[in-house]
Amino acid sequence: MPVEVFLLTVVPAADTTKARSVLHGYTETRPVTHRFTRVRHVRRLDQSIRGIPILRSLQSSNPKPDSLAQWQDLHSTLSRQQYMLTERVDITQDVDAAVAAGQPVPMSEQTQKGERILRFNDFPDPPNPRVPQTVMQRKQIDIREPGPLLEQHMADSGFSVANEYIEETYHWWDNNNLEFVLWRQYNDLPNPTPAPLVQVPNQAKWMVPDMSKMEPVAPFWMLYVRALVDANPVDRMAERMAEAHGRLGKVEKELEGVFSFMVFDRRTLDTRYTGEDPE
Amino acid sequence: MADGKDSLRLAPDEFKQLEVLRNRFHQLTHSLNSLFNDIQRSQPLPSQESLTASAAILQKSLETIQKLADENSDLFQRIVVHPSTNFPGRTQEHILLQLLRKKLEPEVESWVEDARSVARASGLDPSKLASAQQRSNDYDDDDDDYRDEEEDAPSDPFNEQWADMFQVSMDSIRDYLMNQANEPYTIAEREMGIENVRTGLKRSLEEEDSEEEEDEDVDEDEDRPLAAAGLGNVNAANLFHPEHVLWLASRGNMKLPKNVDLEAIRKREKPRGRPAPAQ
Repeated sequence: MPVEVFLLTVVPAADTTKARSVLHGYTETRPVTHRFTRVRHVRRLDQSIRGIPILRSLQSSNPKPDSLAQWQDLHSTLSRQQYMLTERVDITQDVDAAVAAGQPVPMSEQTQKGERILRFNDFPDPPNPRVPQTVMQRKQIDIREPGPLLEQHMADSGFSVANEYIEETYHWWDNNNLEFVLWRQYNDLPNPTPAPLVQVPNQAKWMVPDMSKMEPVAPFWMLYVRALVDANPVDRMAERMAEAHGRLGKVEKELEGVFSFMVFDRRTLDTRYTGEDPE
Repeated sequence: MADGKDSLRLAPDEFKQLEVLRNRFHQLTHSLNSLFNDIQRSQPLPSQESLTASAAILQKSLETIQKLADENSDLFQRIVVHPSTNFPGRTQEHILLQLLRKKLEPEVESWVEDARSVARASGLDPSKLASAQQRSNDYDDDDDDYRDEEEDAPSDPFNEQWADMFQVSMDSIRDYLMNQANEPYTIAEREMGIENVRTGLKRSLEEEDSEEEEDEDVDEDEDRPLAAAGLGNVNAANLFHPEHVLWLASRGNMKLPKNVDLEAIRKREKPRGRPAPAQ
């Protein structure tokens, strides 16, 4: 299973333009990628369902899905512990349409049927004297499938939507395979309840808000510098992890005085689910 | 048939409950079809794990529908389906009779009776289970109307014992969560003196509670959580910590647990850990 290794810090909204300029120059990325993503948190209310029940049917299907290995990893993980997962869909084009129209617009057919990502983030590893304090690391699985198929798989596996929000992000990449992400969230959406996983006939389409009229959750952005370490071959994993730590350490040193990467309690990134939904 | 909430003379909330019920039945139909296809595709049968999981999903769906029907029993009993004046009754008589039918079709009725026979043979009486669930809902709701229905249920000492046990266990859990879980020491430990308790911790649990309260007071007095991190231009109306944003990304809500260590008020340890080895 891949491991995500990352740094985090806060960028006040007033400093966003400067931050983006610095990151442009530092990564030499042109043009910057600006995205809006709908993020839905899914979980299983029925805690007795373990693993991925449809795994056998995925394994026996012909042709086998490209994401089978990821489904198998997820099955192993969810057999031991329940987690909150996220389902992510890029709604950038629909957001552009909503802003142009000056009002919310229904999610387009293209977006509805387009690719979705089911993401599992493990509880980050505990602090380790061999790893810099500002560096956090966690196992991560991304499963990419067309929207309707992924949602049916999730519903058949007993998942349902807990809540949703919209994420606005800017992305840069440098030559060291590091991704720099500036992100913030919006959770005051026009849809009264989260869209269910499986669309029913005659159900109203999910409305993409006019983002120019939305207020973000917080008056700051988060800057997130990440490296994804491949799990294969397993015997050289420690070496690759140390190399990733080194790359992030270099970034921290080179950006010293511009960004001050922070040490966060790993419990803020706890995705383990024990059955309680907050009121 | 009558369509739209206006011709049904339903309040918006009541119509919404009908829609929710329709969606639940649709999801149930989907799950049943999925199981049916799975059984057809697999030779000879799907795995026991898969069948068990599917049964759990179906049971959950049925429970949800049952609960929805119970909560809206007045509404659903009051609603009567009738064709509107423009329904083509002459040409669509078959559909009309199906939709207006109140009794089950003979084939369906025999399925239901067969299933009840199997349940009784297994030692389960569906009528007893239904009344036990009703009784447990009664204790939770404390509603006189439901108590009237309870008088009509068959008196069975076995059902009452189960309901009593359920209520006692719920009361115990509630008491534990509200009172006992917050206590750092047991009653026996307090009686023998907390200074004699070997916790294995260097800090005192009692002092930690008071320190947390002091920290919270300091946080409230500062009124600028991000200012402690050296960041300005914070809107006083939006007092969010970065930890809230991280929690939202992990769990989908802003209800950060109280035990999370906030970066803005944590005293940084110096030096800040060994940097990662240079490449």
